Amino acid sequence: MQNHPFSPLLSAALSKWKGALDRHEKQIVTACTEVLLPAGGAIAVSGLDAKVVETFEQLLANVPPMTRMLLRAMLQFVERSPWAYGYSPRPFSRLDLSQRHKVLERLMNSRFYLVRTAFLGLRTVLTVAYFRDENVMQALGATPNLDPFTQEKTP
Amino acid sequence: MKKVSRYEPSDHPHESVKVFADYQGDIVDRCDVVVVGSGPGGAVVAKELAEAGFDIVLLEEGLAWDAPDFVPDAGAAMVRMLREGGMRATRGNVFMPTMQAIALGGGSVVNSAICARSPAWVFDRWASLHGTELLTGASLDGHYQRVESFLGVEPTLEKVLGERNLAFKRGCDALGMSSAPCPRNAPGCKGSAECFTGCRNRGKASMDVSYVPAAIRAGARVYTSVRVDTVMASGRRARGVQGKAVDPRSKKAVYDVRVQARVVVLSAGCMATPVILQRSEIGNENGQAGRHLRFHPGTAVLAVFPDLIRPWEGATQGYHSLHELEDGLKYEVLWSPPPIIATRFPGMGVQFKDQLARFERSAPFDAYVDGADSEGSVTGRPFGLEPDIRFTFGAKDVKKLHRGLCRLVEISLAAGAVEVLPGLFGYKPVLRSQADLDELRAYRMKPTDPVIAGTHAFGSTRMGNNVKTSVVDVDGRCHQTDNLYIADSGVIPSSPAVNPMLTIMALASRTAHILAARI
Repeated sequence: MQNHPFSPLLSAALSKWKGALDRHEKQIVTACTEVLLPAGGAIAVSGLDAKVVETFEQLLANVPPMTRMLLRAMLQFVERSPWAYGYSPRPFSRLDLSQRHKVLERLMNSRFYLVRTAFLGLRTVLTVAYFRDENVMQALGATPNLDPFTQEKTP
Repeated sequence: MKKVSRYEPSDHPHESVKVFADYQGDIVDRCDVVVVGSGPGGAVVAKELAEAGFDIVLLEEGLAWDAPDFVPDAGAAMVRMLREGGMRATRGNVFMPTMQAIALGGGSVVNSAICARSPAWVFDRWASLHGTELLTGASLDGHYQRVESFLGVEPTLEKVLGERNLAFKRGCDALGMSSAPCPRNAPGCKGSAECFTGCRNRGKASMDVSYVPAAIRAGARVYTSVRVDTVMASGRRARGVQGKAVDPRSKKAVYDVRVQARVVVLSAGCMATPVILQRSEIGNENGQAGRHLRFHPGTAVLAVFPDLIRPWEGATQGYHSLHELEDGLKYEVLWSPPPIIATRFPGMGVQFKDQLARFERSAPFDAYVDGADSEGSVTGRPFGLEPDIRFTFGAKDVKKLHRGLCRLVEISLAAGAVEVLPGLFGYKPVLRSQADLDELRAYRMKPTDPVIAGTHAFGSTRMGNNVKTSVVDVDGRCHQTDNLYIADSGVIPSSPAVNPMLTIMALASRTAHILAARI
């Protein structure tokens, strides 16, 4: 994190303004990533190994203020959704993995358009961050090729 | 009209473009014509008028991104070159993502370079709906030709089509549907499929490497990182524009900008131009700026084949079908970076990742509707916040899109796909057979069921002969003004049927030639 020539309190406020995630927000993103992009499956790399949380933070720092506010609101929405759905009084980031999976599944399949749009938005941003990792792209076989029809293909 | 030769590619296309670091204080300039926005509308006007001998200032809010800056990373491209970090969406009965670029060259830097002419019947429809009889298909032919020649527009070459495009052709052929390689302004295309993140091969003749350098060679002065806020006016006459030079790092407005001109041309795009008019005391006398916003709402399917497709190889959108164009439907091959296409995949966790791994055997195809039954608006917000964009997806268009979706599934199956992912909420995630297709045809799709996107936006400063229902006349001049013009997608009054970029450029060329005779 960048050092600011201000008091610690003001520095923290400034870093938040500039888009860095605070500790609690990082916990929420981490909790979502663990469920949405776990290790294993056809692409072995996990979201956490692919540094999805760090990339999410970078993206957040570089979008306009209103978009940043919306992304933050989306995180808070997910965090409070177990309570809002009457599933659990505990916030999302404090649930165990299987409980978190159930909560996100509810959001994904919600009959409320706004809710499932928020889920799709969250999954898309995390997927964008996931695909920034070279190992993920390599696992897909989708390494960028500027001249695919004249260069020899690697096996 | 003078014949034109093709643009000259350069290794340093942005030489002489002024960037924020060049500014030492407030910017004050004076010229014959100030053009706001360097996308397909503004760049054409700037080049044509500069070559006609006029003193031109071209202002652009975005940065001049060049091939070495481009990275094949969706996140980076969206944050750098798209408004609201690529997360702009409409409000209304649907949240529809819509992408507007902020870069020297505008949308042409990140679009798929499709340059299709609108058929003559489009102009007949505009005439009957909006009183634009003076603008006929034939009257625009010379301008279409001029733009096509300069940009080297040609149908996508077979050698760069790749399996993704060929699969679509196979499907259309099997169904007896007409299809063709998309005409594109990508004369140097090598099929790297990186249109969305900026062409690192410089194969695409986007405005920043074609029209803008030509305008500079003809004497135009180009300022980037300049945001125009208002048009200065006295009575019916525009006197120039004013705004701010914005530091691209801190995003802070640092210097005042004031450009005085004999003529003002707004080409900031159909989301920004109406907002400038709403803030100004000229050009919006009847409060029409920002109303009648139209889109081509579209959706896509992901066809999964038994064999390798390698969708990341081949022209981004190299093939299309105009078979049902008059009915308001267009079909295309689609490509954008994998995480964007991944919105089609159902599920989460390992199941979602397993789906991602099938990418190499997949091809996305999209359909869009003309949006004749849908309308929206764009309104500026205070404190420099992004505009409020509203849109109502009309029932007839939803029905039409459903028909388009079924057709896409049909094309996919006919092309040999073993699975098709329709991306419909509350519906089976995978379709495999004719029986599945028949079932989908009987399904009553709601506007919120499909994953949709507002592929092209237009109409927010539409042309027409009625001052109470339109903003500009057929020449692009704002009603009740002497010298304020608009040359961007906003003037297109209803659907251009095909992808609008070439029509925007042809209309801008027409406006420039009219202006050259009037100034």
